[in-house]
Amino acid sequence: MIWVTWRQHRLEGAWSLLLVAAIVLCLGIVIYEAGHPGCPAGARNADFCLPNNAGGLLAQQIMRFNLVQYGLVVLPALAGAFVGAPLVAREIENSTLRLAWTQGVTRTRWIIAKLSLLFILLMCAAALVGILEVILINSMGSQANHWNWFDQQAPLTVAATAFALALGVASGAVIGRSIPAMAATLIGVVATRFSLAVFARAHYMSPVLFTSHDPNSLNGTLGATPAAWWLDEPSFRDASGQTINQIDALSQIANLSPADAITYLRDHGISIVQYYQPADRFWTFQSIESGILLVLTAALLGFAVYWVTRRVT
Amino acid sequence: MALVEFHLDPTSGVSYYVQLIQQVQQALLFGILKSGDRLPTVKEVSAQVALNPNTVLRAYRELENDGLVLSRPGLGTFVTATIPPAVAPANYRLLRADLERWIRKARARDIDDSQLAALFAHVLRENAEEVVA
Amino acid sequence: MISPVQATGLGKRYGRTWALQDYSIRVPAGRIAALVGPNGAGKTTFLHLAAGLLRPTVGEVRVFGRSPQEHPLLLLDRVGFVAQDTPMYGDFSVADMVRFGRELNSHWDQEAVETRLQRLNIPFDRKIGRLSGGQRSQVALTMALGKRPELLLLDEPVARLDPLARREFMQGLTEAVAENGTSVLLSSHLVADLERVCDYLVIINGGRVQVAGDIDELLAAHRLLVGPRTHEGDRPPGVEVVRAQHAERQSSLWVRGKVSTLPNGWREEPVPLEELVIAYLSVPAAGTLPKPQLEVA
Repeated sequence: MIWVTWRQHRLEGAWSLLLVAAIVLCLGIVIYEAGHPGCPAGARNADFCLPNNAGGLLAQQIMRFNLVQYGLVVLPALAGAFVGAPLVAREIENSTLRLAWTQGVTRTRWIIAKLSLLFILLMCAAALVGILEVILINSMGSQANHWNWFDQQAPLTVAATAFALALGVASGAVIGRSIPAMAATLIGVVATRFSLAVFARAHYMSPVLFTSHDPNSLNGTLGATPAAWWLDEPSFRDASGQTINQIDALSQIANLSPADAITYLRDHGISIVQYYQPADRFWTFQSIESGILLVLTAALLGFAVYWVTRRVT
Repeated sequence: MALVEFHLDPTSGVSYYVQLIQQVQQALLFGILKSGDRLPTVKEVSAQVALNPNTVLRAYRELENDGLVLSRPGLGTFVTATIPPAVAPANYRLLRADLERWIRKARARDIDDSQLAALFAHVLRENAEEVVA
Repeated sequence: MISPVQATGLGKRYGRTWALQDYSIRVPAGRIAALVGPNGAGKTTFLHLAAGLLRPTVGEVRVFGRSPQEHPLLLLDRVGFVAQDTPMYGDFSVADMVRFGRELNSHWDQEAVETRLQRLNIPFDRKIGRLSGGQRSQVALTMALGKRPELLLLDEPVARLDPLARREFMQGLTEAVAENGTSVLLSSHLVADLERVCDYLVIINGGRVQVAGDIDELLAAHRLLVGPRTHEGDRPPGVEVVRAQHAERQSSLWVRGKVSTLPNGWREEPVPLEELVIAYLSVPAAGTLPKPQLEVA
């Protein structure tokens, strides 16, 4: 079945390879150039800068246009829609199942062989780009905040790709037509990942409350908690924990010196608070979200295999 | 290459296996097939005229029952009849003369060509089925 | 010999519609059997049930005594199937399709497949989508024959072919059957082809089986009786009337059975195969068959 699967899907395979190669190349260039000494004068942060030679300029352009970062976010959805959805749907709409299922292999073996090959290849690709992304962020030095690129790193890229593929194959099997299945997959993947990112992600573990009496902390530069994920805006609270009007509070210390302001706020039991997730929780959160997506993947794959072997006529 | 080819007429009203038998008989009669010749295999005949192999088998079996051929497993089906060599020209002239007389007789009675053809086909069919039965 | 295809009480329903009902037939081994009937009669559904592509709603279908659902691999190896319109992968070359067959089937005769395609002058590097209708059908048939099946199921294999391509297809089929003794069940509308190639006939109409039998026996058993106008109730004794047509002064009765003595003014004629098929198709209620005992392997 390996040759058969490859021959049937070599077009999608070639495109995927091309896309992945392009992204790997871009990431590689930036990583390589970031490792070189010699920054232009006035570079924003001495820890991460790109040189002004040819390679460095190319790397700067790559970083400026952010296409690679956007690409990494949408790639799993595209894989699901363009590789996963037509897998079964195309054979249904072309009636070629009547050919494929009357050869010498059972439906079960047929679908599992196809799924295995595609999953292994695409998940490896997702792992490769995800790991390169992690390396890239690590090479940014002290300004590196992994939380800023949550969706683009391994293991989440791998789990997201698996989920999108599984949703694609399942939609294709049930809907039976490629284009509607592609649309359904894109919508489904985007909706799920968006929901997870916006509604669930902040709560995988209870957020930590940052408390301070220093008005400078309103600027968000918290040396004590670097590379954190700030979940909301800072707000003022009184001693009993009630939120108080920010303008009101600020007006009380408007004319005080910074040191006096701190004292004033402390004496009046007023704190500035903000919820965050600390940097050391990043990989735990990656694992949790990956785990959720992988559970969904397993369920969708089981459903897809069931549907193909028992329900398609 | 096969020694002879067969041609089936779907409109003649005669069963295909009978047509095969008749064509073998005619070939024997006109000396095209001689004793010791090998008939085309069942597979060759099936392929040549797009005919069910069972039908070909049936024709060959009847020919064998009539003593005209003999089937040798693994080797083929061979002509055994020792029909004297065809005296086609003489018979041919004889039959043709009879036929011309018959046609003139019919025309004299105002029987047209299509009625003639129908009569001929009908009697030929009856006669053929008697021969084989 | 165990029957290659038999069904008892077989029915398949889609939603509220029954595509076929109460199918009970037993096709004998070593035959080229024809499945004839109007569109929508259930021919394709029946072939798909026999091929294991569909599950029965009620009843059973057995191939060589086994249920396709219970023994999928066993039967997939022994049964060759060509669906209507010969679905294949349009961007595959002929060589790719052959490889497809070789990879997915365990008893594949690569040499025979290549020889056959070469003899038919079908170029190996041509894409399937660019083959003529006749060439495409030949490739599909060759693929089905490649696994040396004991049973071939063909769904309207020559429907879209010109007369020459049809003839060549049938030649290929009969040759393959002569060589391997394969049993064949094919559905078709074209009765003329059937008479040459098939020796067993199944007529289905309205999702039910009307007639099933040896073509020679069926032709011997049916007669057309023409005589003076009869009334509805009048039936010649000892025969079953399949179809009756009445003109003002004359009646024509298609009957099944032997008439011992023909009354005065009546004549009897044989019924050609096409007329027999038409007679049954025009009277959906005609024909009843006893249910065969299912053979289980």
